[in-house]
Amino acid sequence: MSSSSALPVPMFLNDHEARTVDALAGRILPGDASDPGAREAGAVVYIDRALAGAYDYLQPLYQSGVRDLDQLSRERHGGAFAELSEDRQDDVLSELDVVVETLPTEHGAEPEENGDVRDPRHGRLSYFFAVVREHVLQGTFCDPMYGGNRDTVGWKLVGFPGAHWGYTEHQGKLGFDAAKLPVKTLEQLRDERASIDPNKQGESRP
Amino acid sequence: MTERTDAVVVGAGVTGGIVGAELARAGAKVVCLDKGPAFTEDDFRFKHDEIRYYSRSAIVPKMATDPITWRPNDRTTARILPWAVGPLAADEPLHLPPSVGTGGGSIHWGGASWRLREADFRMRSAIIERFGKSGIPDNTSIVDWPISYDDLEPYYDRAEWELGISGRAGNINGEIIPGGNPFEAPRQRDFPMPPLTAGAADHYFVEASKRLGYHPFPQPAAIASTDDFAEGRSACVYCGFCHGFPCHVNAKTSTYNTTIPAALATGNFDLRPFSRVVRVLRSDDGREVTGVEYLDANGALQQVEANLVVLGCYTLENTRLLLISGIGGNGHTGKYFMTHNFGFFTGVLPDYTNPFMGPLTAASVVDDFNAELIPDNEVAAVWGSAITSWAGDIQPIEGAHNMPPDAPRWGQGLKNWLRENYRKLHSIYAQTPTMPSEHFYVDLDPDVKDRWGQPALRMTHDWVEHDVAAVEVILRIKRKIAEEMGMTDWWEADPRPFYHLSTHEGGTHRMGDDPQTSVVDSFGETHECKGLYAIGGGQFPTYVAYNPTTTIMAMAYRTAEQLVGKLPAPAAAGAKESAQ
Repeated sequence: MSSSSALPVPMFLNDHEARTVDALAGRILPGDASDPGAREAGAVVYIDRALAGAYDYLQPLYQSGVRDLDQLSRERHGGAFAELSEDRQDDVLSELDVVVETLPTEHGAEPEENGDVRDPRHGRLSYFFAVVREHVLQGTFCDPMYGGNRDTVGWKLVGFPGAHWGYTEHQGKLGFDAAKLPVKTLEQLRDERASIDPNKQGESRP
Repeated sequence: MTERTDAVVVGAGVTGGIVGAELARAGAKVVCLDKGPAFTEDDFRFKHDEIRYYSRSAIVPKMATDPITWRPNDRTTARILPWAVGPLAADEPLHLPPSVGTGGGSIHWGGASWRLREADFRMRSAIIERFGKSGIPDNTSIVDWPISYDDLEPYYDRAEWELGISGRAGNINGEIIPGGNPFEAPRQRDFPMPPLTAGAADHYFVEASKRLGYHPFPQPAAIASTDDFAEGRSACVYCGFCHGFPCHVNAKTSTYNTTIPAALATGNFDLRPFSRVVRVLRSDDGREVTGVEYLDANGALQQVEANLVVLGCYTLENTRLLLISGIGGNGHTGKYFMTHNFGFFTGVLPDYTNPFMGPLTAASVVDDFNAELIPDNEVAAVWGSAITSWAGDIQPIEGAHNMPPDAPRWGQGLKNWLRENYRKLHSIYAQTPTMPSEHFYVDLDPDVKDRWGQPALRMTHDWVEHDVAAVEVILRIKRKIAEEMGMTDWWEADPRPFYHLSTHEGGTHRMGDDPQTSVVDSFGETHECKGLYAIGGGQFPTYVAYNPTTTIMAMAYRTAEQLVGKLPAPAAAGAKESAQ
């Protein structure tokens, strides 16, 4: 819960929802300052901006998802999800961790009936958890211009060097240590290309 | 007064870009209507963005504007492609229709660039020669094509040399060339450019395949491997954002950067972006085409008259327009929907191989088990597939989507898995083709309409026994290769995958000589309406394991030659005058 206070003002989520999604990000790809995960990457900022724009059709899913998650957390452990200890949060998520094989209906966020769950909320919540998981991955591995992957910590985690104009033949050879490559954002790539003659932008040398 | 022109081309993609350009160069006035944008180089310069092009499929049609529905059989109600909608959609542009706008599917494509095998043109005969008449699977309508490899060879050559394909010949006029595909049909000359440099992990695939006695060769690619092929086009820079992405250096071959600029330079090619054709117009007796009706960029209904209308907008959209326009093809329009089953197979190699570099197509292929070369088997699989190495072009989110089903889905385990394995991923895929069947078809959805009130196309398709059997037989070879490569762990896609669309759709406006059993002739002209052409994968009477696009290019060149030959000289001269 350390980084919540550092979150920017959300565009769509309210503060409690943002804290809850941030806590979920912290359990999906955990981390700390020395070994950053989705929280340190600011995945919640990515998700919040996406919900305010490209994913606005998912606003109801997130709002009701946080509400249902809190209710389940209170019943099981006596507090809202974001207020529980990480171990308790993991207990709640383990209950929801079923592979969501059901697919949403047209444009919508509602899963089909999931016959083998005991609590009808589980179907909805498992679906919500699966969606948050997907968005946490996006918020960790997106270009930082989207609000997530702060300081490219997501790319550094997996060894992805980001937005390169291209790679040389030497760099493409078996055994090349990609850790030697600088990690570049699209902004850095654009700045780098700005010094190149516009008529020669298409040329091949990276 | 209604506008009149010599030819209307619907779709500025692969076929429209070729046929439209050839007509314009011959002097005909062409109006080209595309529902997408007219792209410029500035649109693609900084395309290194996995969210935009992969997670959000920026350049392919959306189900909200271009709905397609699917049902497994005619006893169920179709719904909008379930794998393509919602936040857990496959997030895979290749499970949606191809990209729209200038270049069409040749913007987002991976660029796998194949000539078909000779046997692909005569599937029925080839299966009977190999397995006897009982080899023809039940409930199928497998036929031989009305054209042969030899009919298309000159046009394959044009596509390769005019548009720019890189590769290594395996058979030049019957002489087997070391290092190429020894199973390919004879070609009149080599490719205009050498193959791309393969991704690092491909080394393991090649060595393992050779040790197993197979014959790996570099995949032919519609990606420039040299800087000097054409003005304004660079060699590939191996950026690693390739399949599903536009190209920022014009290395990837597209009609967007080849035929369409040439067409525009003639002054005869009137490209109209954001123009959505809603209907083909015909004479009162229905036997001649008279033009099209379309919604312009402002949503206003327009008509343009022409005695030649070429539909070149992907298999399914061609067929939707035919059906909406009442071109039933004696009940054949929409029949014999065919697609690919990729049989995705992903594993972890012992070393870091940097799979984020290079194009998907910079890798090798084993063709020893393709088509009629399928091994003997007890599961009644009769048609094989190429087996393709996938050594690059995997960004982190795509990598996370390709995890083994038993890997931790969240928590420290997920983090560790990605940290340890993302840089070691290698995939092997095949493209086993489905068989044409009366049971699998497309028609107009009775309920679902697009926002302009036009019916969505409805697909009726399911995976059947022989699809699964073919995937299984090829999977056995993949497992052998993977083991020989030293993969420590691998996982396989369900042979009945969740998707029923691969961007490589075939059939639904089958070509043939007989109007009683086909919709178009081998040039794509509809039997029932003179001057109306539908060109593309929809013409394929049976399907193949290769990517279809280069064959579609060759067919488009063949049709263009026929159409240019038919142009009346006065019309051409008149076109020039009115262009003044």
